Amino acid sequence: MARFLIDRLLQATFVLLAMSFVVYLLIWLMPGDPLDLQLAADPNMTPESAAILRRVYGLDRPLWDRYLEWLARAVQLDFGPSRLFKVPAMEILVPRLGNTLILLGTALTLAMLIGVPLGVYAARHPHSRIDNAINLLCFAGISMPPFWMALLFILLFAVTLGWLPASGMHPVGQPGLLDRIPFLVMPVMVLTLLNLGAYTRYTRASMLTALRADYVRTARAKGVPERTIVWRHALRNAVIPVVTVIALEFGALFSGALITETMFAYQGMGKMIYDAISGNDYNLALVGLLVATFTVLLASFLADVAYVLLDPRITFGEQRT
Amino acid sequence: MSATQPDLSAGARVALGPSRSNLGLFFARFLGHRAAVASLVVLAVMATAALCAPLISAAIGHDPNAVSILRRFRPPSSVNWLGTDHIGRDLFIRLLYGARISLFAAITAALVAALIGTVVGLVAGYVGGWVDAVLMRFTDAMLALPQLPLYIVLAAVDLKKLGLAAVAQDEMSSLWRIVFIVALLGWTRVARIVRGTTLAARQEPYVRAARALGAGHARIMAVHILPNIASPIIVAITLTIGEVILIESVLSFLGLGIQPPLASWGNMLTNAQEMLWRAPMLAVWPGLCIFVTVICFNFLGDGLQDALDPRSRPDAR
Repeated sequence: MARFLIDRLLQATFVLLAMSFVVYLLIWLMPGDPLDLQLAADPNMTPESAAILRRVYGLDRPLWDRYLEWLARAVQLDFGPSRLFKVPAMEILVPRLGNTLILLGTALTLAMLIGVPLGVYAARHPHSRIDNAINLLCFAGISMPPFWMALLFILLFAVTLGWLPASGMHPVGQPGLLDRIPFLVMPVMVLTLLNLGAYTRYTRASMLTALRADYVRTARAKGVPERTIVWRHALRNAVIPVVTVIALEFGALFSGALITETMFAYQGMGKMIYDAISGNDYNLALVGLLVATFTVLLASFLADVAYVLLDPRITFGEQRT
Repeated sequence: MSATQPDLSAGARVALGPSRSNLGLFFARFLGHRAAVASLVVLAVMATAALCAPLISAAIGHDPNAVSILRRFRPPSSVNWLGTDHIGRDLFIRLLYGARISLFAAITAALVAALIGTVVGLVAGYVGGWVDAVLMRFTDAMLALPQLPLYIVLAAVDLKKLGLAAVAQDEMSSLWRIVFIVALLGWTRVARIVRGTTLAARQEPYVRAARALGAGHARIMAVHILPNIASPIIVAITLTIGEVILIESVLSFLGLGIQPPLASWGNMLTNAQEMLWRAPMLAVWPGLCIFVTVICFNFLGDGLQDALDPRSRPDAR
């Protein structure tokens, strides 16, 4: 077990390192460099002073060199200043991460609370009318372009009905937690619906397998009430792969959050990454992408650990967990 | 792992393609999946309309890129069937031209991604050992990455800095860029599926027989294994097309994908949010096209899976 964990941790660290270099390279390949932008903004800048600045910023050195220097600072959690916000990138990042976690956490919980029972119901009545209806809804959820769902929600709830604010975080000048709730409703709804279909389908498939297992037949033969069989015996086993898949698909969840946040002008990580990339804010884009990668890797690591802990049949080498 | 195939991890699932003798069985099963049949019809109509877009546009007498300040935000009429957009272009004709771009980009990208994934998966599954370990670790790492932010960065890369200034000039370059970056990140699903089925197929008697007869590794992979694992690849391609349409639409919507004046369903929605109060239907139609197309490809993939490989279903009737 310990060997497995260390192995996975090393692997995750390696992926993160490789990612940081690839992203560093890609961001260098984006249009313009930090100085071009400054030159364009300041008509008094002479070519000589530009050359001096280039040297000060280290832009005349090779990419590899600059990457190592960036890395040395990054491991001390110093990611440099943000060009858009004129403060250290970390100061922008931390509150944005918090906002995203609120959004993601709520949507994820809701999607599981709705999706798992729906999937269980569908698996208990396969090919019934309700199963077909659930199936259709799942396909619709999976096939929906996320930004279009957001547009339709804005059209319905903000433009036509006028019930909810179309975008933003809170009313002007009222940043209290309660004031934020109406602004959270639509993003949470969209993100929940985007993932609901997939979760329901996973649960249904996993439950169908579990309900055919021998222990279910044994329990039935012993006269255990059907309700107990479904919710205690079968679901317990069926939910393990579902949770694993959900954790492994954290990247997809995050991608959904990026779109949702951008559409509703919700100040989270996803919107921050998008704004940073489109605003040529190199430092912020870099740290944002890395934190996103880190979060996804962490989720899949936790999924592995949870899998091992939840399913005692899985062993590593001679050790039993 | 795909949203529509939660149970593919079982590598032991050897899918047998429809040989001549059970082709009839395949059609019977496929026709039994009503949603898939309906989807095929819808997609066929859509593809035909897209192919005939220039003819239709000539017949109606609208140019997809003709801008007219005097005809902005026209409501639907006998002249402009779905009305006009914010710079007076006919919405219906642009939707048809958008279908050409969106479908072409999606199908091409899905095929290229499937090609890469098939090669990686075949090699990993057939060779095994450390080659398999390295390739699959790499695939897993790719699968774990947050894809959309990466797509956004890749879409923002400046081609001039790569020394491809000539390519960047081309009007179609935004289309090829989408195809390229989707193929670059999107091959992982097919690779995993192919690897799993290859692992199982490698043990089959026909592979051992071929080896005994002196067939080389390349020949065994291409001639003996590939045809026998074709079904899951076909299903995966179908599902990937749907996914690519979504990715293309998101990137184009954000202004990073297909660049105007080339119409794509995604970039037709770029300004829709600001105009939502003025012209809500401009936001509805292109999105509806995307939605219907993607759901059709997903149903089609589902139906193909049922027909090609009924054993994969725990609830098979």
